[in-house]
Amino acid sequence: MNCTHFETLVQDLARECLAEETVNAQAVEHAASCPGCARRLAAEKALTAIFRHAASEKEDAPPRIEAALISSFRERREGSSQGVAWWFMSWRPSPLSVRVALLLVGILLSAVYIQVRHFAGQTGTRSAIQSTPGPQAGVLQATVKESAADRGVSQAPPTPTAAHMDASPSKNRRQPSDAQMNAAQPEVATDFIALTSAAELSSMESGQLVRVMLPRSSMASFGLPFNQELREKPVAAQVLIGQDGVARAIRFLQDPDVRFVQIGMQSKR
Amino acid sequence: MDPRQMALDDAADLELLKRISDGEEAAFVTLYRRWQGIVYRCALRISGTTPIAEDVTQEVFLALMNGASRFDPGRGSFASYVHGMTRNHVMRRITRERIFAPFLDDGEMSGSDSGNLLRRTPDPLGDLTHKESVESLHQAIMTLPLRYREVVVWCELEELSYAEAALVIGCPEGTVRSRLHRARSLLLAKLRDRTSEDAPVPKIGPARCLS
Repeated sequence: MNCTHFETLVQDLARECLAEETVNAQAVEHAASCPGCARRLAAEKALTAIFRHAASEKEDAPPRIEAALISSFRERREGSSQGVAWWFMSWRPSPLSVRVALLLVGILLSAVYIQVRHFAGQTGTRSAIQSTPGPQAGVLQATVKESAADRGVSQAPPTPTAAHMDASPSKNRRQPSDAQMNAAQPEVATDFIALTSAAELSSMESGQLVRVMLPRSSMASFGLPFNQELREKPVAAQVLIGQDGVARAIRFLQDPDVRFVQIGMQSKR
Repeated sequence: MDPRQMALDDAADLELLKRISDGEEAAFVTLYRRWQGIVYRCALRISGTTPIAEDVTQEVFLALMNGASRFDPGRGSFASYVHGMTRNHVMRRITRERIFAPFLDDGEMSGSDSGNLLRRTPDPLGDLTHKESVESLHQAIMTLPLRYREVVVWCELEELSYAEAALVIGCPEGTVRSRLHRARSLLLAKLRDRTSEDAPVPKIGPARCLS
């Protein structure tokens, strides 16, 4: 055995946990013949002796911890008989669990809000169609299937531009973009105008609203006034088509750009 | 420890746990008194602070109280279970409160240091009385890096075997052995420095070994 090998064994030798007796004997023999390794072993043995002395020292937790734990144990035992109520009272949420819970509540509220808006949009459209006055009101009460693009259509006020006159922007307020305004504000439309006879309209059970672009001059053929300055610009309209594919009614939608011009606001476009 | 005695102790602890889960206060008190010293002492030696040791003791026994039925004897002894819980709670607290002992460079205790130690005095610890030496030892342990400190606590102060300590720490047995070797070398150097501060160490010629 040399000093390097002895160094690998000196710890276990000093701790008296060398498993093999022959190796143990060789190490002791080496230490006896080598002064350096003998000193190394002596130092390690001295350290082990101090460790043993330190290990024999007993140190107990303060008595108040035992008292506190026993008190907790009694509370738990009494609480467990009360069932779920005790669990809620004794539950101490961690900061992470609180954050996760808040996030889940937020997601849940958002989902509910989106559902409610979606439902309100559908109901609003349906009621707008059903409540549209005119000679064909009976027809329009029929179930109307709408395309996805038409879901934003809402109740048509009698004077479309007047509804937007109140929307004068404040200078101190951040001005929303056109897209935002278009998305936020409902479309303004005229009343439905019948294209067929009353008999055909009354026999209609369901139909489909189709959005089309028409020349602005076509408004005149229905007796509606239109802005001559914008006669080149087409106008949006919704046509109610029956199951047989025949157009039964039409209404004109106000162009957002036109609305801006009419109420004197500056359009970004 | 005698394996038979260990098995008997484990059976007794298991019985106590069963009675605790049935709500028997006396069983909890018995279990607490059996283990509180070990839990408190380990937490104190690793963390170095009394408040952490007290908190950890409380947390470990609260966990035992609330999850008495969670202990699975098939996965290890109850002693390992308690040691592991204690270690986890202490480490969590130390990490949370950023109480770290100053880390030493790996090169601090080089071979030359060992040579100096061997050259100094045959018994560098002999000048200290037992009480002083234990006190010095505890102070020196607290200056060790955490990974060495905990190995010293488990293997030397709690007298666990390498295998048991490896189970508690969650590392291979060889790692425990090498960490302990390094920790002991560091401690010897530190204790030698303490004794040499008071009295000049006589110069001894370089050790020579030809065998």
